[in-house]
Amino acid sequence: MKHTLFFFFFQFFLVPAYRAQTTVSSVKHVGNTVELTVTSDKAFYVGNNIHVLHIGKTVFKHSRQSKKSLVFLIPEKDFSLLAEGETMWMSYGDRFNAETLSDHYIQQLAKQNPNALWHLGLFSKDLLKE
Amino acid sequence: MKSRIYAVVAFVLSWTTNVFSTYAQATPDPGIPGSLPVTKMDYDLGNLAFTTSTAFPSSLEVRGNIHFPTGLPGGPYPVIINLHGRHSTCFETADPSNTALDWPCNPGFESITSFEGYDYFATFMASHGYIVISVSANGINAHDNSSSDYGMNARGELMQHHCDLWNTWNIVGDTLGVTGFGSMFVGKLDMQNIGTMGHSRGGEGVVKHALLNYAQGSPYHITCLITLAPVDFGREILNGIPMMNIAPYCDGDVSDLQGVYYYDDTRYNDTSDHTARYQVLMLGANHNFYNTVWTPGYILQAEAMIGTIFTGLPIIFAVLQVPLINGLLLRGNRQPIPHMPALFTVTIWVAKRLLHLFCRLMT
Repeated sequence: MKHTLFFFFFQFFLVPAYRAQTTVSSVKHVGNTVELTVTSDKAFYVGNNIHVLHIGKTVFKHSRQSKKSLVFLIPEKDFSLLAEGETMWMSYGDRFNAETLSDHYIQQLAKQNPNALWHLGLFSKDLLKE
Repeated sequence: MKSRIYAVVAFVLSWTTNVFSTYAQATPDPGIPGSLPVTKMDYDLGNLAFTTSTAFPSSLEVRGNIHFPTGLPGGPYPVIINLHGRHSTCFETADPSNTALDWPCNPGFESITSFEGYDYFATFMASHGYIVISVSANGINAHDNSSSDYGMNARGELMQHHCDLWNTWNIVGDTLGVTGFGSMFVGKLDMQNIGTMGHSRGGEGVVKHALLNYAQGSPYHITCLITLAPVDFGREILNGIPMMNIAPYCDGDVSDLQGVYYYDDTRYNDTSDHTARYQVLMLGANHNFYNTVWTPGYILQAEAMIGTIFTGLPIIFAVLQVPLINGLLLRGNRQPIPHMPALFTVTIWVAKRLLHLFCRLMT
């Protein structure tokens, strides 16, 4: 009985947790809006909360969603105010206080909350393809 | 001495038993279905039958269902209107696991009937003499994240449009023949006695609807309102209508339980507002399973079993504290056991971990 229980629980340590790859796949101008697309190899949850894009301390909350991509709609003037080298990250829901989070801490949170927080690298205006 | 103690205990027990049994007799069990048989009917005026006056990026379906006491004896009946929350809107007919967030659905796909997820509740309430309408809002869900208010004004307008339709069918019947109802509902709905329930984004939707109805001069009387696991993106303020907010303890979607603002924001903002407000934290409940269409049926039994165990254990742990403290803390020479506070802390910690583990198993 002890062995059965041991192996039952031990199997959970043997199966590596699958981590979806989530990246910024494109940034482009559409009219007076910049559309920043976040793509994943795992479908994003369709729920009642909102996906929030954080670039530094600035947040963007409006998006279009398809199965494995989210297109954030960033007003052009807001985009022009973003600073180079800021951390880009995305959260499901708006419960994280961006003002207090360091890049390192965001990466840690992303590992702990793979379905609620995604670290997307550093922002650069060079990402923008006209 | 002992006999006196027994007598006092017996008196207290009999008194409390009498009080509780009297109370139980006076208040019918709200969980027991009513005596009326129930009929369900659907209506569907088309996927793009309604265009909002606000700038919402899509036209919307006018679709829903109605549960009512079979034969509609007497009346008019008080009305309940339900509005579902946000979920995928379409599924592929050949592979139902393949879902999409489009509106209208693409060829090969069909609409997910989220509005039918409250049929259990509608049947129950209709058996008690209510007419219960459930409104489909897939067209909003497919496009709301790109609109400035996340589709909340559209939800309010859609609800009011259904009220307008039902008001017409209640006064003159379906003279255009769009539903097949004919005159069967004429005089049967009490449009001055409406309760609304909105789940999740539908929660903010019914608040928006109440505000819109008020802005239009209250053509209908919203008697009461329930927000179930709601969002509150707009921090809407609704005074003057009795309301209850239900916050599921294990909500894995709107996990910050932001709907509590509906209660907090209106509690003291208007000193002349004395309407009743309730806030309920539902232990063991998650976000989605209030809607049966969103509930994965194949694990429902297991979830229910796990839920019972995991929510029951913390209660057992908590109850055990009493004999633990009484029995261990004061045993022997009636001196406190040195490690008792630590043991108490550990048991509370274990209880909380069990509850959180259960919540993680749920969505």
